[in-house]
Amino acid sequence: MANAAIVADSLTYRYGELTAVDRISFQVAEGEVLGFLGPNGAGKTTTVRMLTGQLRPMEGTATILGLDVARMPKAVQAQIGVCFETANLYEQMTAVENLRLFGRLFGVKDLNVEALLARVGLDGRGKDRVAGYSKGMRQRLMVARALVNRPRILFLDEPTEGLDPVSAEAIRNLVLEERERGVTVLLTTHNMLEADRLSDRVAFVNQGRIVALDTPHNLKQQYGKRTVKAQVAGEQGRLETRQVTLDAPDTASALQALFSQERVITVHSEEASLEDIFVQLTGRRLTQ
Amino acid sequence: MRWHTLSPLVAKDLALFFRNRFFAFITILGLAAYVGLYLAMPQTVDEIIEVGLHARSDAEPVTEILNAQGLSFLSMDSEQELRQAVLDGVVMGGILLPEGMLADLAQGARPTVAVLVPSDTPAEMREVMVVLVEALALGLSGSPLNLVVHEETLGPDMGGSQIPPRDRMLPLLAVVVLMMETLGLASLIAEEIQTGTLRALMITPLGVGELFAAKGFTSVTMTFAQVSLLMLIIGGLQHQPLLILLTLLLGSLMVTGIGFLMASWGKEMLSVMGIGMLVIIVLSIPPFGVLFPGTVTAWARLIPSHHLADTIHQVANLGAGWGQVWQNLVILLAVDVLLFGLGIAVLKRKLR
Repeated sequence: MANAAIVADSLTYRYGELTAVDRISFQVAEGEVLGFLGPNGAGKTTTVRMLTGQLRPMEGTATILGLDVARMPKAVQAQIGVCFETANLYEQMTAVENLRLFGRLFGVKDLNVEALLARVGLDGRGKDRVAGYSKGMRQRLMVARALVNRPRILFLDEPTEGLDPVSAEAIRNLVLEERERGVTVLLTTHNMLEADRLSDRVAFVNQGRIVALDTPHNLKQQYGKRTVKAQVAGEQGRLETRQVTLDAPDTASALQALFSQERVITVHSEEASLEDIFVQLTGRRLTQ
Repeated sequence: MRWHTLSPLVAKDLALFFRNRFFAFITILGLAAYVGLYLAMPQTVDEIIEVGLHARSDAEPVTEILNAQGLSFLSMDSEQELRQAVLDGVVMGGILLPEGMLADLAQGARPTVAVLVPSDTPAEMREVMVVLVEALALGLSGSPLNLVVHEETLGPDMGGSQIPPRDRMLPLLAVVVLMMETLGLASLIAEEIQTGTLRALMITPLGVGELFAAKGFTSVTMTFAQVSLLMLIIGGLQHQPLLILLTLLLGSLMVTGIGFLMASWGKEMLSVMGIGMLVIIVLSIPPFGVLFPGTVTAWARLIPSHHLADTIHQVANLGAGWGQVWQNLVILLAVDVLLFGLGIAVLKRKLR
């Protein structure tokens, strides 16, 4: 990859006997959004910790914007923004104080706190202490905090986990805005719909390894099955479901038979979801 | 080390400390309470040990003989009255002289004298009472003691100007104030570890060294300011103020190191407070030895607060100068370096 912003090369990390991350390798291009999908305990967060300099890899190397993370963690951290899985804000400080503190630590002199709060929908609440915030507001403030240094790379760890639809949508829109600005995003999630919508490519992570890495479209093409699902009137007027797999040799005749022999009420075309493909590849569900 | 990085952290820690109502409250209330406690303690020392005496007969001649020799006892009218006075603590002990004692002594007999002491009287004091009776018997028999006692006071003679309990309490107050402030700061660090805010800080260009420098600066400044203010109010800085302030600064460094250790052991405010209370009890042993001389054995010298308490006592109460306490200061500095280093190492490990 020519302009790789993130390069993970054989990253490995063990917690005692458990190998949490097992020789993971991948690259993320500048301005790309990579969805990191996997169930809890798959090794996503440990990988992010190694990439952001919070953990030192036991094997392999992590390179961010050409800098070796293990050797120059602080130089790397100056150029990245990290949104953690769980809210870790100063609860007895206001949103403005939280953002200003981190702005000063990053050495940002022209930080426009109000504009940043407005971007995450917290305008007007900046002077309230975080202790009084809802979970969604805290998460939005976490994303705002990850943006104080105008990072070139954003690491978002389950940013919409357990949020109300409004807050989740606000965060998703912000990710798309950042991508428009050319920011590279590594989005860790087990929400396949979110990954499908936001990611240029997705990596399926299972038991510390990447089992598939491609665009959502290509993954669906490669592993998914397109189908037509029809509801027909069965005996005594009961609705019954019929399913015809597309791309099969007998698709045409099967569809013809459906429409000629059954009383079709509704027809829907369907393609495989990332969840289906993940299950197919790993035998596990993302939400396990 | 960059000040523009340290200053927001220090400001943040101070803000969080005073926004915690409990710590803000005990900081202000504590100062008032310590001053109140100091003022409530006696300002003078009663150097007279009162001993009760009851003679079953010959009371008048016995008292006359003793008075003539400069010995004064609290004379009791009855044995029962003497026993009650001992039990009530009116006198430290009682001496019950048998009937016809003067006559027995004159005839060379060995009358039995009862010494009455409360049950909690130390063995040393009981021996003193027995020696007193022996001296008394010599006086009553008219035989002078066949030796001359020459008294030599080593160190400043405190006779007639004993150190009042309130001043003996200065080291204890210093240790308690230092530790109470440290408890608050240790709780804040533990909470930061628990809530993950320290992790968030460590993902900025902030270095681990800068983080500990900021935490250490806040803690030392807070503890030093609080204890210095207390000493100023209660008069602990009247003699050799610079020496006392330096000792308190070293004490602040010591408790900050201990605070780092407590923060890494505790998970949140309550567990840090629990650990902190135990630490306060241990650290208070040496200053208790100053407050109640003779109650603490030599092993207390191994407790890190010994050199702090001893220096404050020597300087503030006994008028010692740099020459007398420099060894204490050097040891205290070494203890600071050790505890500070250990605290940072343990906390760093916890941060990983």
